[in-house]
Amino acid sequence: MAEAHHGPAYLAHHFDTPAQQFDAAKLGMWAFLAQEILFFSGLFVAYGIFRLWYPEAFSVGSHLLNYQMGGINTAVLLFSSWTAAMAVRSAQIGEQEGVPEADKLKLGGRQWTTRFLAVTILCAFGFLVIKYFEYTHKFHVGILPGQYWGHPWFDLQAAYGAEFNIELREAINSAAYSFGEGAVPYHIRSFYGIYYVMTGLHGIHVVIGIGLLFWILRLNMKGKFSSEYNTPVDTVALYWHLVDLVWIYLFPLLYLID
Amino acid sequence: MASHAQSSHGHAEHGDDYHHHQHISTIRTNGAVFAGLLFFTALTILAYRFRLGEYNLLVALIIASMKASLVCTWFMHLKYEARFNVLFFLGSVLFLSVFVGYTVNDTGHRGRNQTIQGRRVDPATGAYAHGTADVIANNPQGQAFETLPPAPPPPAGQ
Repeated sequence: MAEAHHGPAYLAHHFDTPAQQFDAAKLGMWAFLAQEILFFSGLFVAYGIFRLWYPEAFSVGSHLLNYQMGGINTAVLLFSSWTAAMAVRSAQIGEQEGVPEADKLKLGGRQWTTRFLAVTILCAFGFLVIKYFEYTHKFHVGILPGQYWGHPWFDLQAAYGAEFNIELREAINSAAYSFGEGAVPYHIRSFYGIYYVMTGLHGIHVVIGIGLLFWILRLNMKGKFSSEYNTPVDTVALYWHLVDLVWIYLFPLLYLID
Repeated sequence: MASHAQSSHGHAEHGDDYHHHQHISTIRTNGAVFAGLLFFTALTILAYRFRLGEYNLLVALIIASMKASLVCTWFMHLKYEARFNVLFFLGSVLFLSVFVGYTVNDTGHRGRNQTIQGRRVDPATGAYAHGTADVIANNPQGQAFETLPPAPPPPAGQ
């Protein structure tokens, strides 16, 4: 150690060089992401076992989900992953001071980082809004997990007449497994238990992601990042991509069962 | 791009080991990856609409894995990441595939073998394994897939 205060302001005093600090942060982030994979792996195992035990429940249960809404949400999340990647890129490029105008990289610098992060946050909220409409519709018609199946919290079925019944019936009858007109397999409760836990946990990750994105948006607007120091943008984007990765698997596994 | 090298290696004055080196992706790469992700999303929905039956899960997982590798390789910069970090992350993916793969393979073949071979978990009582044949047979609201032979009477003298 040369001296107590060394190097630029962003360099914590227990690191020798920015490179060392960066490598430590990246290793820590990848260790956390590996832990996230392990964390979700238990749920994917539960999904696999229950799908094998009750294929009929997964088929009918999946047909009660709106795959168009799930598809739109997938596109929203993929787009937000692209804007997150573009935010990292613009932060890495930095202000390009002294670079001739013609040689400057496009969409680089602090302002673009702000814009890309803001769009990422908007998409995250958009995802939650669509998820909110999906959830509330299901609550209203009594598509609930486990013992709560078929017990609407709000009696909208009475208010809307038979409309809900017709819609649900059509969905049930379109499944690959048929038990006769409008019949629902008993273990559809288990499918919705898995659905709510997996999408709910993913939703919590989205909410945490919004908080983290706001945090780096604030730091960016304060001018804390440059081409030399942008590790928080990098690591938060990594987290956001992981949220996207989980959804990439959840969408076909839950919404697109034959 | 002409200025790519200039801006990504613009800190040479500090020496090579002082500042970290980051790979800056191009707009074109990120755009192509996003387009690819949308394409695979459309493809997985199309595959679902085609009603692939027993191949539904396999095809969905293959397409999802292609999307996942696009995100990991390009958006998460795994292609340019330190080898140790790549190993660390892929190690967890390997664990996931062993965990899910072996459990699902085991569970998936239990009930089938018992039904086909007429075997039961407890030969003395003739009970089926939980979660497979007994659940199907006693399913209160659903319907049995197949007619199971009645359990044999317990051996005499017990």
